[in-house]
Amino acid sequence: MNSFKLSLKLFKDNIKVYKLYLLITIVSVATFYNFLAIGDNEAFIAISERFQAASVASLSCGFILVCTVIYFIFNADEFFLLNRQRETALYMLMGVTQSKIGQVFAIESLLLGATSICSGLVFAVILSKLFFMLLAKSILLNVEIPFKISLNAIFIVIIVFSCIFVILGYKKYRVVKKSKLIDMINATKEKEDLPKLRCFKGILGVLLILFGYLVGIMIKTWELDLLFSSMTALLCVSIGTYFFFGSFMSIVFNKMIKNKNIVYKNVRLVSISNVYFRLKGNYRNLAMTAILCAAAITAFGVSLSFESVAQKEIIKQAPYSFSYESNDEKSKEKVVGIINESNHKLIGINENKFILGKVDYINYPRKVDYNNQAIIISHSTLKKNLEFLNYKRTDNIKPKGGQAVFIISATTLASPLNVLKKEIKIKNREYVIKKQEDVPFTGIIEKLGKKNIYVLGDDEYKKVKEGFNETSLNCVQISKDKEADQLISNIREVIPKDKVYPHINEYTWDYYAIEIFHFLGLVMSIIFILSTFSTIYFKILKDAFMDKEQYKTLKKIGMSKAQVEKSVHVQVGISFILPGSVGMLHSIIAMKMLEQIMNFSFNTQLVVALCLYSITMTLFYFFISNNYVKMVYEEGENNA
Amino acid sequence: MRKIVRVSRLIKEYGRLTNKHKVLKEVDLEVNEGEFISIMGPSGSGKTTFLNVMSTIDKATSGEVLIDGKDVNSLKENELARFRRDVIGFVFQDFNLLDNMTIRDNIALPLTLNNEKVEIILEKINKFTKLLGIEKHLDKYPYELSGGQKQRAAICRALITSPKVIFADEPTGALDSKAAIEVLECFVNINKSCNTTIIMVSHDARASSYADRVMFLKDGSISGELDSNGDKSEMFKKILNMIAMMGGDSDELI
Repeated sequence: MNSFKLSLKLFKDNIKVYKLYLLITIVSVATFYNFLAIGDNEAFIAISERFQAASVASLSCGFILVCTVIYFIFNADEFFLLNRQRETALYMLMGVTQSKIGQVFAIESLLLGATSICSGLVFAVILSKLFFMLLAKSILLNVEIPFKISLNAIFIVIIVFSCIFVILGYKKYRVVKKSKLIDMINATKEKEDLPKLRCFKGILGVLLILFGYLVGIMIKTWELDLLFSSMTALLCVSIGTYFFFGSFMSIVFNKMIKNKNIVYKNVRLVSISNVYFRLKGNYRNLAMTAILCAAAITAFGVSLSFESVAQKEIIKQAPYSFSYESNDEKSKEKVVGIINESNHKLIGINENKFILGKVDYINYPRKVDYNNQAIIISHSTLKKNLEFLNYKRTDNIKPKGGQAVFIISATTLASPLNVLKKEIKIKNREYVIKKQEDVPFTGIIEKLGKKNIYVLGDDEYKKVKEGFNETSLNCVQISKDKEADQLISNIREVIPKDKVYPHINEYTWDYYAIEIFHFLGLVMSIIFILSTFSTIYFKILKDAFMDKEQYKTLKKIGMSKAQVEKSVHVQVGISFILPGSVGMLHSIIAMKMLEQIMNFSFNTQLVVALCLYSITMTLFYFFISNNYVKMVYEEGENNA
Repeated sequence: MRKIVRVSRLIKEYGRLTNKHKVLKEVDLEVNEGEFISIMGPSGSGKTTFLNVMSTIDKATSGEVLIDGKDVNSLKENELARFRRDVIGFVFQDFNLLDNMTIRDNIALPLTLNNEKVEIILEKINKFTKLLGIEKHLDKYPYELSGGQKQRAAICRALITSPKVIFADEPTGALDSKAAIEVLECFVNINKSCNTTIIMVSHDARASSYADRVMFLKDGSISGELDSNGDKSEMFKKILNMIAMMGGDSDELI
C-alpha cells in the first residue's frame, strides 16, 4: 500500500475523531471567504473609499481569523499526534521508516485540509447569500446588495488555507520523523519540568498589565495620542498577560502548594499540583486564551453598541431636513413660500446666528480647529436650537463669564481629543473650557460641518461678535424630507446654490459603515469565541490524556468517582475559567477606553456581552470537564 | 488469633463463553492479624491476579473475600473507594508516586482525600517517615530519589492511613539487591512496630524469606506452604528446596 492510499484509509477511519476539527475549519474557511467577498462587493468598495477604517477593519478581521485558525489547528494536531503515538510506535516496530509514517500523517492532514477548503467554499457560497442578506438587513437601508460569487476571494481562500495546511502538514512530518521510538511507547509517561520561579518577571507582568490599564483609562485625562496610547496599552497588556501566566501564576501556585493549610484539603492537592506542574507548558495557551477572549468580548460589546452609536450619529450628522445660509429677510420669506407651495409640510424653521472666528489655545500645542477657524455661538442660540430639535439634555451646560463650552465638529466620529480646562483666547479675551459636549448643531454640511463649535455666555458673545459679520444658518424641518430634491432645486433659485444644504444623504454612508462594523464585529466575535474555546478543548483533553496514568494510581489509593469529578472540575476551572476571567477584565478596560474615544457609554452592551460570554464559557466548562472525567476515569477503568 | 483476611473458594475467570480461561481455581487462604505473608509462584501462576482480587482492584468471578469481616465483592463503587482509603494500603512494583508532587504531598494525599486536619497529617507524616528513614527527602520530587527511597515513600503513603492490611505487588521487582533489602527491612519493621498485616507477591526467594509464611501458587491453586522460624537464611534454603520440589524452573524464582 503506498503512502497516499494508506493516508486515505486512515482519514476515512478517523473521520469521527476529526468531526469537531472539520467543523471549525469549515466554518473558518466559509467566514474568511465572506470577509474577502465583502471587500470585493461594490457597495462596500464605495464605503471603503470614504472610510479607510472599514477596509482596514475587514482586513484585520480576516487576518485575526487566519491567526486563530492556525492556532487552533496547531493545538488540535498536537492532540491527535499524542493520541496516535502508540499507533505510530506500532508502525515503527513493524519496520516502516519514520519518514514514511511522517508522509502518511502529512498527507492525511493535507486531505483534511482539502476537505475543509472544498466543503468550506461550498458552504461559504451558500452562506454568502445569507450573509449579505443579514448584512443588508442590519444596515436597515433598502439597498440591494448584489449577490455574486467572488472568484478573487475563492482564489485567496485557497492560497491562504493551502499554505496553512501545507506548512502544518510539513510540521507534522518533521515531528514524526524526529520522534524516538522509546518516547512513543511511553507516550503518557513524558515528564515535564517544574516551572522556574521568576519573581522579577512575575511582578513585571502585573505591573505591565496595570500600566496598560492606566494608559487605557487615562487616555483623555493625559491627552495621549490615540495611536500611540492604544498601541502602548495593547502591547503592555499582551506582554503583561504572558508574564502573568508564565511567572506570576507559578509564584502564586508555588506559595499555595507550600502552604499546607490550603492544599491539604480534599481534592485540592491533586488539582493544584496538576495545574502548577503543567504551567510551564501551558502558560502561552492560557495567555493567548485570555487575550483572544478579551478581543472577542470587546468586539462583541462594541459591535452591539454600534447600533446605538449609529442612532446617535444620525441626529448629530443630519439634524435638519435641510438648511441654508441667509441673512436676508426677503429671501427667507420666499423660501417659506416655496415650501408652502410644495407638497411638503413645514414643521418649523430655526435661525442660528454665529460668527466664524479664530480660537487661539494658550500653552496647548495640538492643532484643534480645522483650518484654524471655528464657529462661535452664544448659549441662548444653542439652547433654542436644542429645544427646536427636541434634543434633551439633563445637565446644565450654561457657561459663566470666563468660560466656554466646546462642541466637536459634526464630521468627527471618534476622537480622544480633550480640551477640558484648556485656556483659549478669542479676540484677545481669555476663556477656560468648562465642558466638552457632543450635541447636534450644524450637521455634516460643507465647510461648516468640519468646524468645531465654541459656546460662550450671551454677554461675552456680544462683546466678541463686534467687528465680525454674523452668519445665519436657517434650519428647516419639513415632512417627507427624503423626497425633497425638487423643493431644494426650487429654493436654489432664490438662494445662492452653495448656501443651500440639502438633506444630507452623506450621513447614510457613515451609518452604513458603522452598521457594517456592527455586523462584521458580531460575526467575528462569535467565531473568535468558538474557535478559542474549541482550541482550549483540545488543549485540555491533551492534558487529560497525559493524566490517565495518574488517575489510575489515584483510583487505586482510593479516590472515588465523585472526588475525581471534583478534582477535574477544579483543575479545568483553573485552566479555563482563570484565563477567561482575565480576558473579561481586559475587555472591561478596553471598553472603558473606547467609551472615552467615542464619547459614548457602553455599559448596557458591556453587561450583555459579558453575560453571553459567561454563559458560553460555563457551557464549555461543563462540556470539557465531563469529557475530561470520561477520559481519565471511565476509559482508565478498562485497564486499571 | 483474629483472621484479618479470609479467602474461600475464590475463582477468577478471564474471557467470555467459549473462550474461558480459569486463572484462579478455588483458592482458600486465611491470614492472621499482624502476619507478613508472601505469595510465590512462577509467571502465569495467577499470583498478581490473586492479589488484585484480594485487594479490590479486580473482581472475583465467584468465591468470597473477607477483609476485616467485610465482603469486598459486595461493596459499591463509593464504598469501595472509601474502603481502599481506610482499610487497605497498596505498594506497587513501579512505586506509582505522582511525579508532580513532592514526597510530602504524595504521602499526604490519602489523608487529604479523607479531609483530615492539616496538623494531624503533618504529624503523621513526621512519625512514619522517621520510621522508614526518608524524613530528609520530604521536599524533594520523586525524580530526585533513588528507587529504594521512592519505594519507601510509597510504603509510607500506604501506611499513613493506618490500614489493617498492606498489599504489595512485587515491591522489590524494580530495585537492586541493596535497595531491595532496605525495603524488605522496612516491611519487617512496620509489621512489628505497627502490627500491620502485609500480603506480598514476589517471585524472588530472597524477598520471600523475610516473610513469616510463604504460600506457593501454581496454575491457579495453592500448592505449598512454608512457615518461618525467624531465621532468614534457613527460610531461604527451605524456599529453594520447595521450588525444586514443585518442579518449577528454579532459575526463574531466584
